[in-house]
Parts: sequence; C-alpha cells; structure tokens
Amino acid sequence: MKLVPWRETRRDACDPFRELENIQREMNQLFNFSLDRWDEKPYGILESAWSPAIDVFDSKDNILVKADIPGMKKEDIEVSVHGDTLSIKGEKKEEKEVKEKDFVKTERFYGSFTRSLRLPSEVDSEKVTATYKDGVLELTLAKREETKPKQIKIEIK
Amino acid sequence: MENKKDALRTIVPAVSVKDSGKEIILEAEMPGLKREDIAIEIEGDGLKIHGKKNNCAAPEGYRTIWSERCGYEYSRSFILTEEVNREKVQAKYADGLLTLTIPKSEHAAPRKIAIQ
Repeated sequence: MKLVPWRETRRDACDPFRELENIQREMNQLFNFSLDRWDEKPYGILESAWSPAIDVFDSKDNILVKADIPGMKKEDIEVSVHGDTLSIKGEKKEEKEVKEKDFVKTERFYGSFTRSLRLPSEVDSEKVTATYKDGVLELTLAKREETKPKQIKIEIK
Repeated sequence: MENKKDALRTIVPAVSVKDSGKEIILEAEMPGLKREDIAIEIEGDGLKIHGKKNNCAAPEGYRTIWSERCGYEYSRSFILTEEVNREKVQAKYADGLLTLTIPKSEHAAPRKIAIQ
C-alpha cells in the first residue's frame, strides 16, 4: 500500500476536446458571430457532436448535477447511473411544423447527444431525483452510505 | 473604462430564425436564466438580446466540484433588414429558449407606385 497526497480529482470533467471546443468558441466570439456558415452543420470540425455544459456540486449526503439542455422535452432525456458514473443522454428533435414557404435558418443543434461523467463518490441509483426547468436538468443523487467519509475518533493516550 | 475583472465572458447563443413573410420568429438557446436577467433591445434597425448568467455560487450546503455553466453572458445582435412593428414584438422564455415573435410592419410590404 502506498500513501499519496490527497487532491481533488477532476479527471473526468477534464476532457481535452472540450478544451478545444472552448478555444473555438472563444475564437467565434472574437467575431461576435459563429464562424460556421448557417447553411452548414451547426457545429464545427472539432465538435463531433454537441454535449451539454454541466456543473457538479458536492455535499455530505448528496451530489447535485446541473446540465444546460435547452429546448427539450422531459421524455427525451435519459439519465442512468452505474456505480460512480453518470450518463445523460437525449435526443433533440427538430420541430416538423415548418411550412414550405417559410424561410428558415438554424444554428441550433438537433440530434442525439450524450455526456458521461465520473461522480466524486458512488451513489445510490435508487435515490436519484431529476427536474427539468428553464432548459436546465437538475439531478440530486444520494451518496451510498458505505462510501460516505467516516469520522474515526482516535483516542490520544 | 470597463473593469476587466468584472467583465463576463460572452457566449453567442445559437439561434434559429423563421420568416413566415408576416412575422419573424427568433429562437435563442439561453438556458438557466432568470427572467429578470434577460434583456431585449430594439434600437433603430438593431436588435440585441442579452442574458446574464453570473451566479456561480454553490447551492447552500454544497461545494463546487466542477463548473462550466456560469460566469458569462449570452449576447447577440442582429440587424433587422425589414421594417418591423416594434410595439407588437412578443417575447417568451420557456425550456431555456428565448422566443421573439417580431411582426413585420404592414407598410413594409412592397407597394406599387403609379407614375402620374
């Protein structure tokens, strides 16, 4: 057994492609406009697909995950938990009520997306609550009892 | 001078624009905003949509592990190439989409002028 200094793990949130996407986004912002042409794919070369931005919060008993997924129907979002891995999947469907004569341009992403992340601790997959409001998916995941940090009292003699 | 420290990053929201001939429907993806943090301005032929997202504080009892969805503002400007009825512009915010319904001005329709 080896003892290593403790530090906050950010292994999963640190996705190199996401970093590249951020650079691309920053570049686009220089022009205050998307570099992508409207008639082409709504996402760039680096972004093979869209995936939602997330926040992860931790408390003693729960883990809270928020994900920005605008313009979805609740039933098109799928959340699954396996051990300490959380997956958010979904499909953004394009409205079909567009009439022929309408002139339409869109940059919005449609299609399926997925984002998986490793949670800071294992959670009880039975105790997950989810809400969807204002385009934000909010998940509260209860930590599993046995993985909660335990305080051990050491008696000083 | 703008204080750089307080300046928020700007994110250009993805939009879709539908023009039915009578009205323009603009949808912008701006999830997770409070209604009071959204601003829509029409000035001259310019249309600007704006939304602040700068509440980075963790909910009570929680600490932040990872944060990607705060500390920026959505901002985008458009030029209206046709005359619109700005009094009748409607805005709606649902499921993280800001939807603007912009009716075109009736007198913006092409009119034939006879030579006397």
